[in-house]
Amino acid sequence: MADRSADQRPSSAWAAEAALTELYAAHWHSLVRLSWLLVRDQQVAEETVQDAFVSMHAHWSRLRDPDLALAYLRRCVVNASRSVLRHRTVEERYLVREATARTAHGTTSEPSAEDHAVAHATGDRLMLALAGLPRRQREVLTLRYYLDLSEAQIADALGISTGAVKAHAHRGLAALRGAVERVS
Amino acid sequence: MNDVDLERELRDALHREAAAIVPGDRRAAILAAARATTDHEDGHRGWLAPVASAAAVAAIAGGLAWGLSQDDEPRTPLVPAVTTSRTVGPGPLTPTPSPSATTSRSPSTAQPSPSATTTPSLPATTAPSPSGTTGPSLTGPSLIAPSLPGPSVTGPSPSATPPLSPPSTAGSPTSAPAPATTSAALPAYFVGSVGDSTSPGRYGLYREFLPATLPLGATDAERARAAVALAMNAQPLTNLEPYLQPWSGTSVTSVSVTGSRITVTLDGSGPTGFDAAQTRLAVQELVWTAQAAVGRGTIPVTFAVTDGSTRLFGTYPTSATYNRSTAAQGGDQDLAPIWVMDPPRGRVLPAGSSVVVTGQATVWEAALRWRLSSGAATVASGATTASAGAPARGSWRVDVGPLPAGDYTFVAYATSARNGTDVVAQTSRSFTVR
Repeated sequence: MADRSADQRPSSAWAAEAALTELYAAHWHSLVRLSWLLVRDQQVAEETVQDAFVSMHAHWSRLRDPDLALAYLRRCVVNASRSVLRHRTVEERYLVREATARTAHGTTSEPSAEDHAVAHATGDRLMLALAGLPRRQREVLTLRYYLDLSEAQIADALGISTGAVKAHAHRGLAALRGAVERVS
Repeated sequence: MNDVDLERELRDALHREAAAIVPGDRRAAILAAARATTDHEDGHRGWLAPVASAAAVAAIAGGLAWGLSQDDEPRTPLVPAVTTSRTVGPGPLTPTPSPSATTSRSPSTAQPSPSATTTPSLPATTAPSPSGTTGPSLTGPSLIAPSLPGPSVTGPSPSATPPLSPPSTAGSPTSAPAPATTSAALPAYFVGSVGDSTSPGRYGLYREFLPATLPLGATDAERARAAVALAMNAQPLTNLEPYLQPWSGTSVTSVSVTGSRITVTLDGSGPTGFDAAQTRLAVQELVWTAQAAVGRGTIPVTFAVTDGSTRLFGTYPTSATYNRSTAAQGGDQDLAPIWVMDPPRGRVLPAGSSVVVTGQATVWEAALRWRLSSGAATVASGATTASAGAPARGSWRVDVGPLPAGDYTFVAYATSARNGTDVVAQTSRSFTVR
């Protein structure tokens, strides 16, 4: 770091950068994965979250607090992921990914993929059923069970009331239960 | 299953699912973009700024620019969706109840008054560079306008110069209202992820043939310029392919061709935020594209930048000549290991006749695997052998037989020599049978 330029920068710039670095270290992976769960496209997910971080940095003077900044990041990510999903092409691509994800990520070869599928049959059905839920329900359940957010945090991230969060969670879980039990 | 079990299963499944990807490291790019944004507000060289965020938005917006493939419907209704994608920044800051939540058609949801953001001063003061249009993605709707009119929504019949960077390409002589034009498919190379799950940061060049409208009897220089313009705007493809946009905000001013030299003149030296491997490929992308469009072999390429820069990406001297590295130098290594060449992107094939997919590959022991899917179902899969194994580049061909009408995606991939299971290269191509 050149001291020269350091002197020229307002100290808030340093604070913003420190916050950025810290939040990146702590939350980059989970936010990208959150976005990935919503959009099913790693590239888009990374770019979405990258954009969120840049935006957070630009707004640091209003945030000034890691918790507020994290909440801001989550809102950005969920909003942007939702916008992406509106685009049909991505959804189509998602279906393809869905079908190919296991081999595509190379976690297993075909025979063991089957073992894997058997071992996680319920989980796979859940993921499929989750993908079929209305967007809101899917977002609520993903935030709740992937990020383990509270109802208030989910409400904040989605810009809805906690009552609505409860309702979406309830309906979503009921639908998932139905889906799993129908098959088994 | 009781509630507790269901919740546990769901939590486990989500975590397992999330673990399927390994996010790449973008810390440096984020910091660079964040600093550039800050500088921007201070009034310095701001146009370099939010390359990264521009890339993100472009990726989001990407697919609608081209009337690609299966989807013949007018894309116009999607415009609002793009607009709302700009809310990445400002949206959440003003937590209006349910911002943009349910009304996908309403562009107004994207307008949490630009004044709510802290970056509103950007566009007005720095707009002259075309990057101004892609740059400050944070400020919202007004900025999206310039990028929309370009790509004609109906697709492959764009205006004389590629739809890409409207402002600066528009004024050149080649795009004058010449009455006689012809459409051509021009080769354009793009820097894209090679699909290596063990090393997600690996990139290589992919070639696309993209439609362009050229004046009748276009010169080599005109062809090259149009092709380079296509290659420099990866945005329309980023929703479909893992392509980078290393030339975001930069466009080609002119290309001149002699028997021994191709000179490409750009209006900028390239954005910041890309690493050395990426920028090297970004330069190679232009070299391959220009040479391919001229079609007279590996004529050395040199660059000029109208703003007086002497180094592309601050690294590669414009005074030097560039060439695609030869096969002896391992030149093919700049190409992504697997290409699908046929059927072309978005092609509609007749039902009832055999579908043949061909491509090139540089893969270990020439072993290539493939999978054909339609919607969520895998229709067929198999393995094939390229005509040569790595380090050579072989060609390959898969006959998947006649297919019922539908939309399909063909995925070609190679697995690691080490364990035979890690996917080390992968690419895909979608087509329709009707």
